[in-house]
Amino acid sequence: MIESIKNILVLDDNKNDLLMAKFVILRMGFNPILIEKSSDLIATLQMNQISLIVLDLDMPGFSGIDVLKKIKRVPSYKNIPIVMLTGNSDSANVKSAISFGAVDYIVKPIDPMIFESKIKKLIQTNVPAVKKNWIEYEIKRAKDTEIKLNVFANLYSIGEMGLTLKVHQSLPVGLTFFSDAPLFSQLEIKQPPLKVESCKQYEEYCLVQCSMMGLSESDLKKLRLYNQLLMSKEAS
Amino acid sequence: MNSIFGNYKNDLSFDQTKIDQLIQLGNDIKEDVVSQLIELHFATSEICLNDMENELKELNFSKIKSTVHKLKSSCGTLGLNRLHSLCDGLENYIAQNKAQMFLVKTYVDCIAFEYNDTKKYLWQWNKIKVGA
Repeated sequence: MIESIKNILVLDDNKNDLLMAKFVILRMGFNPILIEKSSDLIATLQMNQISLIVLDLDMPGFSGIDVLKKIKRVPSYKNIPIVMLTGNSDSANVKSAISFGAVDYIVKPIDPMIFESKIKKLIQTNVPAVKKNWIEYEIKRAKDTEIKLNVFANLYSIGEMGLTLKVHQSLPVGLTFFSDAPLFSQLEIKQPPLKVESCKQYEEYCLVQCSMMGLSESDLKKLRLYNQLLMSKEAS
Repeated sequence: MNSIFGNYKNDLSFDQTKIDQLIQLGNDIKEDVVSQLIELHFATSEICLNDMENELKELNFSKIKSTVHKLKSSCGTLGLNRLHSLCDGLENYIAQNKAQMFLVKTYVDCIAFEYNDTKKYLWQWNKIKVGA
């Protein structure tokens, strides 16, 4: 059976970001469909089989969150994974995008490597619908009950795109939660949303690898400096 | 202007590694990615800078915030780190809702100055004649 090339829809009012997204999507071997106005969205979804939507959060008029809610209300489109794209990594925006059903978050300016790795992972992961609902349930539950994972999770290592936690119990892959680990408040980084990517048994612990979403360039700089400091401390 | 620039002196004016990434991207898809992005950057940035000047005359800070947000993105893509940080700085400053005309104007002047200064870096990568 010949598999058709997957279409990735990008909605962004910024021409520069659309062009950049187009180039990266082409390199991934997918077909980019680019639109600048949210008013063109429904017609584009009706005319094309879309595998994933990349949606700008900060648009004039209809915001990305409004568009996200609109898509999630339509039964035939609600299962299309949506990745939010924004230059504003305010954690409140990240929280609300995720609580309304976005699966991930990319901070502008688009870094080809980060964009490619996130989109590829989402396109290749064929999460069954049941599991998708289960993840949504977990997100809602976490939002309602404010589960404090830092009570039992220790930070094992931290990089620019993710961190590893040492936890006494396993965490489900796909679970998204907000960390209020002291490290983030010390570095003045507002609770970044973390998504469990893998969970491996290590001695009596589980090593849980999480990707961090919605970090701004200045947050990344702080983490880089923090890591450099750790490395220099270890060396001395 | 010096007081604002002082806050951004540690940011690179031009980060060559970003252009290297784009050259690699262009080689992979057999398109002149760098030239296309630079051409669009010049076209959209000139409009943004003109808009900001007008919005400044109208004292419309919320519009300036939205315009500088547009400008910010392509600066980051092309490795114009200092210009990106200046745009980010102005956006955040206005977002605090306590913006003063004098500082907003200083930021806009710094952005225009830095934009003109970074042209020299981009021209060498751009095969299309810009602003001729």
